[in-house]
Amino acid sequence: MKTFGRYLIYRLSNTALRTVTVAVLSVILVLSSVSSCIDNAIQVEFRETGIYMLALLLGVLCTVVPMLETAGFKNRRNLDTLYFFPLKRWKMALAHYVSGFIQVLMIYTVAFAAAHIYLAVKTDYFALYYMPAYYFASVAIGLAMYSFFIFIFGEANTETDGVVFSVMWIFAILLSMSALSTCLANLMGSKADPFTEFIGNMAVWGLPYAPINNLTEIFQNLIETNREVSYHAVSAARYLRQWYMFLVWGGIGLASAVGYFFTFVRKAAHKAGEISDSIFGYRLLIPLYGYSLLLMVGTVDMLTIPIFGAMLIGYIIYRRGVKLKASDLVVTACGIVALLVGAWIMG
Amino acid sequence: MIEIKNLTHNLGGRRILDNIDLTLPEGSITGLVGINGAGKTTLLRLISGVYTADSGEILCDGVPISEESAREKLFFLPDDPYYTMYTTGDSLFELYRVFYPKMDRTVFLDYMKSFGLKEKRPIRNFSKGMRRQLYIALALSAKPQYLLLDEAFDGLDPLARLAFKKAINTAAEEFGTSVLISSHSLRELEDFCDSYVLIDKMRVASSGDIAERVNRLCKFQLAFVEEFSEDIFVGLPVVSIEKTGRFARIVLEGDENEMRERLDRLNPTIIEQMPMDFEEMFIHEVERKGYKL
Repeated sequence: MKTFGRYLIYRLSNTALRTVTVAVLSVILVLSSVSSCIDNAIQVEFRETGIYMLALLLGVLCTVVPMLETAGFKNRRNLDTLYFFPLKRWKMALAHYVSGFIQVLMIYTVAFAAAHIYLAVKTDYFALYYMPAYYFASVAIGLAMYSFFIFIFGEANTETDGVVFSVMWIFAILLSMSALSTCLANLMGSKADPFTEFIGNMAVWGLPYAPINNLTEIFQNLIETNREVSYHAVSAARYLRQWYMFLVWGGIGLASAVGYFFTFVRKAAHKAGEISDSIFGYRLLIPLYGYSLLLMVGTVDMLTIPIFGAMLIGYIIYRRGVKLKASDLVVTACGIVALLVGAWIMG
Repeated sequence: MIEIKNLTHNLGGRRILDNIDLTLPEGSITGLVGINGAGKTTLLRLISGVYTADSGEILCDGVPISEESAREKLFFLPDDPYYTMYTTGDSLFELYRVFYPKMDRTVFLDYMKSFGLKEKRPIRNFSKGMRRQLYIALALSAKPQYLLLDEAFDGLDPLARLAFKKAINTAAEEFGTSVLISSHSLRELEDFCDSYVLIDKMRVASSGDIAERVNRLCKFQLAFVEEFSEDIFVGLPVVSIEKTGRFARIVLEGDENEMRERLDRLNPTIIEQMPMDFEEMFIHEVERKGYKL
């Protein structure tokens, strides 16, 4: 067997105990959700499958496992060992990418199978033949989510920065699109309705968990046939109208995967532990958060001071000290422009 | 053979190594020396593939070091190697065996036993010296063609140093392993290295056979009847002079017999040759480069 295969097996066997433990906890969590949905409803028509817990589980796994899988590369001491091993950098990146996703897949599959079996045994009023389709579609979306988070985490040079980037990116698009939508609504009045609806949708779709949420809503409506036909037909149609969101996130997932490999191969080992200066990190996120909030506040008053303060604290965290660069102060000061524009728009 | 050609590398915008040319012959044990911050660790990281050089090339038996086939022949033991809370000698052996399938468990266990280490104990409970011994056992059980060691003697007690030197010599003799070892412990290096590389001001300041280089320098202690001026040594290939009253300690570069004859002509009352070692040679080399010691 080639070195890559041996390393992949080593990674999987090394994380087996963790995977089994999380799988057991996931099964308990999912089954308690599914059983309470079935048992606690008074009438059959109100009974739900409780499979949203599977979506939640997949979301959490796709956020956390990439961090656990690649955290070792944020430590220079580890790199002294890992990078001298006779395995090309891209193969090592691939081994960790695949190993992490296999862990996600194993935990998710076990929990999914447990939920499916429980529903099959306990109920006869759900269209469970949709479950395999839901499984495969959710795995595909999970891969996109996983790629997104492994890329974002990989852009940081320390574990802490990686966690901060991941959390900030969860809300980054939602926040910026909400700011844009609010501004357009105030600027154009009712004329902006078509745009604000579209941007509002984009804001919600901007959450990395939106695709799995929407997919689950679609399949819940297909599987929960005990509900009123008109209800689930309307709901399913509403979510299916957003099919192109899946394409967008598929594209983001693909671009993220490419970005992850690119960064992994190109990033110099001595960067580990140093200031995270990626364009996808603080450099973009601090102004994006700051300007979005300032635009949305829409008034020049004391309320804005904490936002400027938060931006400065963001830069202090970024630079790991109070010695900020001139560009940091300029970007923070430019927030005044965002504030004035916001105040002018909001009247 | 490891060949380094026109190697230049920067870290954080600062040049660390500049235009390094170096050849490490097969079967040699080479000491890598230099003052703190000279770039020894960076050079080892570049040779082992941890860092990618900004320019120049590193070839291992003619193959670029970026290739897996080249790195399969190398084993790098960094100053502070990887381990986690739960790492044991056994688990490290399993990790290294992924990349070095020919790792010999018998050799590993033999070394572990000779170092008095338990392979099933978490290494977080080991002292620095014990950890180093464990990694040395791993390195030697991998039987690499080229062994790169950073600050190899750090944390080792005198007995462990002796065992380590013996192990390195065995590896060189039995498996033909070439060793490049960085250390500040020059007396230890002198004991078992046959050649040296001195890195200074981003470049290879000098390199070659240790014995030959040390023998090129000779140290004498002299006493004169009266106070004297250092000018009397003008014309001699002086490396350093320490003068106290009527006494002088002088290091010269050249054949010892010839130097003795030339000093005799100065009519000292006492002339006594003293032994030179690698550490003194190093000190004189760096003094000559302008460092105040």
